[in-house]
Amino acid sequence: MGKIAAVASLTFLESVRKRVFLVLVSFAVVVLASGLALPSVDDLSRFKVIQSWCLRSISFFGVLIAIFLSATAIPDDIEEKKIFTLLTKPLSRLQYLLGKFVGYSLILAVFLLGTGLLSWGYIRWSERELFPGRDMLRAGEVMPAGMFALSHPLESAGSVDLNLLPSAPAVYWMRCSRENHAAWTFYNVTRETFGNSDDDDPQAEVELDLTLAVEGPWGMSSNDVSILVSSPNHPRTIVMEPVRLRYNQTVRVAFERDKMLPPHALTTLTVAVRQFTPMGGLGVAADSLVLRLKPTAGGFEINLACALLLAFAQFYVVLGLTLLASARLSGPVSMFLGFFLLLAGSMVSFLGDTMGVLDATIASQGGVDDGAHVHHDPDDISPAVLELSRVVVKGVLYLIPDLGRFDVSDILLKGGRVPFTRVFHDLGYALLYCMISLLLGWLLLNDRELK
Amino acid sequence: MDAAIRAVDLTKDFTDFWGRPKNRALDRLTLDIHRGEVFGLLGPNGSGKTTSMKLFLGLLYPSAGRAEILGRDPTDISAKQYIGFLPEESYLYRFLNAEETLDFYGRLFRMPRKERKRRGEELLKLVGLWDVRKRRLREYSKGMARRIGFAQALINDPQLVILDEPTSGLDPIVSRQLKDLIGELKSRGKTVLMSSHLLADIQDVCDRIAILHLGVLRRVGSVEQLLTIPDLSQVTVKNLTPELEAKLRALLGEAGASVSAVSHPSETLEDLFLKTIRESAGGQNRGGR
Repeated sequence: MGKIAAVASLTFLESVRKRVFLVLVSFAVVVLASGLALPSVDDLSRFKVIQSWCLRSISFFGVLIAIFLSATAIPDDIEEKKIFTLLTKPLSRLQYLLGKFVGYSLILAVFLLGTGLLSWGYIRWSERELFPGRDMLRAGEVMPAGMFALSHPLESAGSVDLNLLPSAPAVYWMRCSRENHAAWTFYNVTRETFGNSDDDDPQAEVELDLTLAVEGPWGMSSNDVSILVSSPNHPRTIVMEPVRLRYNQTVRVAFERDKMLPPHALTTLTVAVRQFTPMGGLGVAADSLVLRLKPTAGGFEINLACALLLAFAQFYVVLGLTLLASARLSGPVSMFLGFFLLLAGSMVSFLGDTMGVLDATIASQGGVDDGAHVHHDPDDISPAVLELSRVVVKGVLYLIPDLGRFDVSDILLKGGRVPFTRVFHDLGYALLYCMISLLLGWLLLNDRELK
Repeated sequence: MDAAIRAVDLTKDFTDFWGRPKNRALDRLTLDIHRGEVFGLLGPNGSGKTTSMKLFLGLLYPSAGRAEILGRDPTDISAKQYIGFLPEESYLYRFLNAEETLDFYGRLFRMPRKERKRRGEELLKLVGLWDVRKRRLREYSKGMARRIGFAQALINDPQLVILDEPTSGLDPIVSRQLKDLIGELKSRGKTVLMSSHLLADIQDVCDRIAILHLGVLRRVGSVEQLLTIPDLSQVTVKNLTPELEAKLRALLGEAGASVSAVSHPSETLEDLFLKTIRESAGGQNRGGR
């Protein structure tokens, strides 16, 4: 341990004194501060841009630092022959590699802590400047519907792209009608779990988030809907109309809590959505509508901490992989590989979709079995080719880390709660990638001759 | 005598990217270096000196044959507890100062803080860098860098010190200091393996030498044994007059021996240079630049 700590502290010190680190850190701070100057329509969007800007800059610069520092780590030591004096001491190559890794992790942790605190202060300060006296940074969990129903057997979405992927939630299309509606029912709802203000505030509201695929008149990507809320205590339906929706963008709508929910009692709430204009269509799914639970104090801070932890997990993965490359390759090549992985890692979710398309195509090309032979459509792609592409895509999916999963800024912007299970799961994923990378890096380094 | 380093048919082929042999850097080297001796590896550039050292230290792996260092395999890190190594060019961490450098290397031996401090001070005084211990290594001259490199090789008070070209590129004064240090190590019973292509350096300090050329061991033995010409003897006489010389020649001729040359012994250039510098500095030794 002592030897690893010695190499780690040396690596830490070396990185801090490297010009590239200082340049990147100062640049990151300048970029963070420039969030306020970004153009935006109103104060609310400006505020959201600032939050997303902070998180994304931290993640971006952290990854850059991880790549720049670790790609040159081992090649520099070898090229400058510093490694000769290290490895002729009682220091194994594994201890050397781990020391480097721990040193860079420390650097990234310090970077994350610094920029995280800076961002937190900056976001809180912007909140005070833009919305004096108001609490804009709330975060609460959401409640999914217990049941989802459509009023008519609607047009099936079999031909719609969104439904082609078996992994995507089923989307049903309601077309050109004010009669059809989709309804989400929430069971065992109590007044105490909802509200955007104090429990005894008669003005408290229940908020709901609505995200639909929308097709407007003449193929536009926005449309208007009506929203109807009812409960057994309040059979009179509250109608909100029109509410403007954009394609797959979440809209937050609120209704009066105390009217719909009796105090200290369980009840059922039904929210229905129907088209306001008789043109275009709506793509609805079971999870298109969720109710927001009461935000908790400090929810934003917990969320931010989770987001930073996930950013760290991402740095870890990039660090491990770049270090693995630098165990064998030169600095510039390792750096190139690091950037390539960064790019590919951000596209893994896209590859996952491709996988789904391939699976669907293979499933749909089963052919017709007449008892003696299986007949295939001559236009079909050969099953062998499809199978091969499937294996290749799957292999690539296993090899390249999914970096997109570490980005939770969307959840943060919507005021949702980053689920702890997700954080643990993603941290485990990063740790696993790191351990495998380090193991391979050690094998490569052990095998390497130091000429 | 117990061998500090043993090579048996040690061979190293360097290969190209595809693993095809490119050139043979060392060819079936068989050699024992005894404990307590100063051993010199001599040879022109590219003769396999550094390659052999790297094989002894486990930095390179042999293509054939085997090497042992202090009775262990070169890749066994437990042996390195007792070894000190000065590479050909002592590239160290340039952002550290001399004190921090020695402290860092001491930590790799799990030396306690107090011990590192004591040993660091002792070594910095030994190599004459105590006064500049707070200066970053990037500001050091080549000679100073060499001396701190030497100090780091001795941080663990090693039983075996391996020095690759310890005096190359150094001025005669620093070079002399390093050679004196090697002599001191020998007097303390340490084993020293050094390589050089500077013949005088090797002759000055080594007990035994090996001459390598094109990866092949050409000669091995004690310096005296290799340099002595058995059928020639030298008599050094003060104030030899021509008359006395004629008498001596006659006497030797009568006894059946012939005089092959009479000359005035001269100082080596190194001795002359060092004497001049010492006189000019008023007999004081120079510290760091």
